[in-house]
Amino acid sequence: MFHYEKKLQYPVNIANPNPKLAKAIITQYGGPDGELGASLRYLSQRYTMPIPELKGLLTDIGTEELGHFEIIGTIVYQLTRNLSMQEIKESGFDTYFVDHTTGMYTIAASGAPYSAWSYASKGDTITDLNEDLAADAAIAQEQHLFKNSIGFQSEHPSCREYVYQWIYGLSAIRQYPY
Amino acid sequence: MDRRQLLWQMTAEQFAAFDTQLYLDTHSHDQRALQMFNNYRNAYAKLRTEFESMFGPISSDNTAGGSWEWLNDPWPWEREAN
Repeated sequence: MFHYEKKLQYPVNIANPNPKLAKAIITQYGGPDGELGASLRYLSQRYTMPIPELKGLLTDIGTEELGHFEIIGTIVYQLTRNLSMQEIKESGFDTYFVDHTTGMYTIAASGAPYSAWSYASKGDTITDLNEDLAADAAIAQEQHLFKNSIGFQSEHPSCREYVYQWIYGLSAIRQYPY
Repeated sequence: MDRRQLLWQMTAEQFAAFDTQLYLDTHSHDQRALQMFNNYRNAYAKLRTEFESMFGPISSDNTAGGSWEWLNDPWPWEREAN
């Protein structure tokens, strides 16, 4: 079962709202390579794992990803505080705003709602572990992209740290015993 | 220590414990890692007790304050909590 601690795994305190950035980051919330998908993938695969090491690892990492899901939600929430209508329109955030205002919704940057198509859970150990490696590679690439190209470094140094920690944290999943 | 510093240290110890936990999941016989895990956990537990005594419970099952305080603001997604 799940137990909740009322704090983030890593603190988020963003001084300057930025709806344009929020439009991109929301894909790590409800997009195909986002944290919700990651947690559902690992938490779903664990049932049919044959050895305790993998049951434990997938349970622990899946749970951690829910904590990351919470962090991303927090980032988008803080990036969309106190917006004027002009800011909403000019940033392009209006296309999300019309459906959700500043409520959180599990959606990709493309506007596609979260879909379980984004992960595989096949009940076969090697297949599922290969899915995890591929997923991890995609996630790491996406997060490197955020870090290096989407204006993170120059504009939002406080966000940069969150990206780094996901990348470092994800390296743990590479310790699969083959 | 102020709230932010205490939160930061507590979070860091727990993060380190958790990373060690992931390692132990696939290396359960590593005694040195187990010792590291216990050290991080103990440090976290101490800091958590201190944090909760000053700033209130961070889980619903901590009712040491005598009331249902865990509901109180701030909540983790709010800047004030970080």
